Amino acid sequence: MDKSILAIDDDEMILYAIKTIFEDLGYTVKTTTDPMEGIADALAKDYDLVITDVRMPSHNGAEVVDAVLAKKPATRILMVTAYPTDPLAVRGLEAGAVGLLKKPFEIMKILEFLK
Amino acid sequence: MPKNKDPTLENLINGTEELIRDIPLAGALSAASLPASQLDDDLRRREVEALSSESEPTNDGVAGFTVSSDHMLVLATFYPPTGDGKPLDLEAVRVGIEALGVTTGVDWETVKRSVLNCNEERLQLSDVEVAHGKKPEDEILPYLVMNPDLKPKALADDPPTRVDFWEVSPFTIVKKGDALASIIPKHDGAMGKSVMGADVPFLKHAVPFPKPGKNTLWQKGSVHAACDGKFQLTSTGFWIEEVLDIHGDIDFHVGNIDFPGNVMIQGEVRNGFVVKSGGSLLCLGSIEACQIDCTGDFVTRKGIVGGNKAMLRVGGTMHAKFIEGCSIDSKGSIYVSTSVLNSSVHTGDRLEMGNRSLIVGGTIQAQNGISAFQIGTARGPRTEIYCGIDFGVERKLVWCRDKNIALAFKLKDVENKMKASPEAKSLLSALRDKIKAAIHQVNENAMLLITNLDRNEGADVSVREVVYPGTYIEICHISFVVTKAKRFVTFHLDKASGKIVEKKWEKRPTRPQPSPERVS
Repeated sequence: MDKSILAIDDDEMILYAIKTIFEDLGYTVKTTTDPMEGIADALAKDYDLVITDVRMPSHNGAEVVDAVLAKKPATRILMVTAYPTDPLAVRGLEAGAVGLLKKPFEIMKILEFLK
Repeated sequence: MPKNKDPTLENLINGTEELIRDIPLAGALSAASLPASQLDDDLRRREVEALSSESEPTNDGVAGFTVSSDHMLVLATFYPPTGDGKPLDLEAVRVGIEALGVTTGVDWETVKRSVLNCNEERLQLSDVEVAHGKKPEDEILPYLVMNPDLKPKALADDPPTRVDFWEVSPFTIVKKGDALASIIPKHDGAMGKSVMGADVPFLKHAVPFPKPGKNTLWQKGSVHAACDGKFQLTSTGFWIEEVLDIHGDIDFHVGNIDFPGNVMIQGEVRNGFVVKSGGSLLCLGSIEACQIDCTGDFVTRKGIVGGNKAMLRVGGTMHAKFIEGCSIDSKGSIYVSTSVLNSSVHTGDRLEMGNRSLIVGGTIQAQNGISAFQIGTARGPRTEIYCGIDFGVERKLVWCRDKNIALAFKLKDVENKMKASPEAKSLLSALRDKIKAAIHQVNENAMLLITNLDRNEGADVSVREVVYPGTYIEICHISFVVTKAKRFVTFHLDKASGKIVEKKWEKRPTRPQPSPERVS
């Protein structure tokens, strides 16, 4: 399939689950708990999809969207949130994120945005 | 007849005619055809004659006999000898019995024993039954007996120590084909015989039984239910009602309902009760925090006050005045007159709201869209709206995801353990492979679900008045958050841009709305 996903979340277990499930489906999955490392990685490589949590301790998802799309506007970013009307999620959507995922994540939506 | 000069001949003729006059016209002489009073007189006369023939005082043992009026019984009294009198003679007794005209049914053993007893003990034995007629057997016409399992599940006279009052029900519910009653075939009558040897005719006897009625059918000598329904039984008939009509509330008087057909509730459904209907369900009252499950349409003339506990699953369409604090799954459209508040609503078709209606809080999943007057309030809770996707499939995918997350966590545990103790590595590697295979299996199922997913990219969210900020709209997984109040607007998916766009609200072509009355 040769498609790649970058997942940024402060919850290591969720990252492990995303990696395990999507690698089984044939995708290449990179994960990180550090949003800054994620931003750098997203800018350094061409991922087919970036998934970022909205609320993280050091940086929020909207900041990730801003930083990545400022330099690579074609990047497709999905934000993971417990509440779709969270102001940070709304800010990320307005900044150019392609969609929202309800926590912990939605397999179907991720696959659709990987098409 | 010409007059005869011979007086002896005349006496003979008159005597004969008098004798013939007593014989019943029907012909055969039988106990049943002779008037009882006449038989009585005959018997008494014979007894008197018997006494007069022995009228001279004697010390010998003697026997006296009485024949019952129906000629079915002969009673004897045995008198023992006194002084130097001769013992009672069996032969004399036999002659005495035969002299009465008794020809059948004599119990000679009893006679012998009685004679012996009477002579030896010098005891008078009274009313000894020495001859019996054979009683006729009545003919019994065919009749129905009800299946004993069809008793209502009401509280027994002697209830067990613990009673589940939720399940106590005064109704008997049957399924199509259930046996209701079986026929008891005709019992043939048999002629009896009097002690005089005459035939005694039998009687015809009809057992009263309830007759099968509506929605019943005959099958090989038994009556079966022709449809699912409520079994009704009276003293004159039984039948199946296709509609369970409850004249009151669903509460402890009625218990939980599980009915294969349509159900009509004249009252309300109280907290904690379960109503299951194999057809449609009409409730004239309100619905509290209960569970409703119906395969057809569901109509409540009032609303649902679910207390965040009510769960409704509807196979057809649904009508309600308002919905509050409940979870609803409906395959068909949902029609609500006034409000949907803090509820989780899922429909395979559309959510259609009435004039001045509002949706506030909760989650709405409507595959083909929503039409409402107002969504959200100025400072109200968030409202999430999802359209275009089959919520049933989505739910299965959530199951797949949760299963795979759990498996992935388990895989992590196993791998950590393998790192920590290399000696367990070989043992755990098989388990690790097993988990990986399971994850793969779940993923394959998820992919199959996604491939067959029913989508409607034409689904829309139509607002006739205002939609407030804090409303989240998703159509075919494309997100949109309402950030400022918008009026008279319809949201839809623009396939070209892959975004949710809005257009001015226009009245939709009227969809034929099923009548809520059709349940009844």
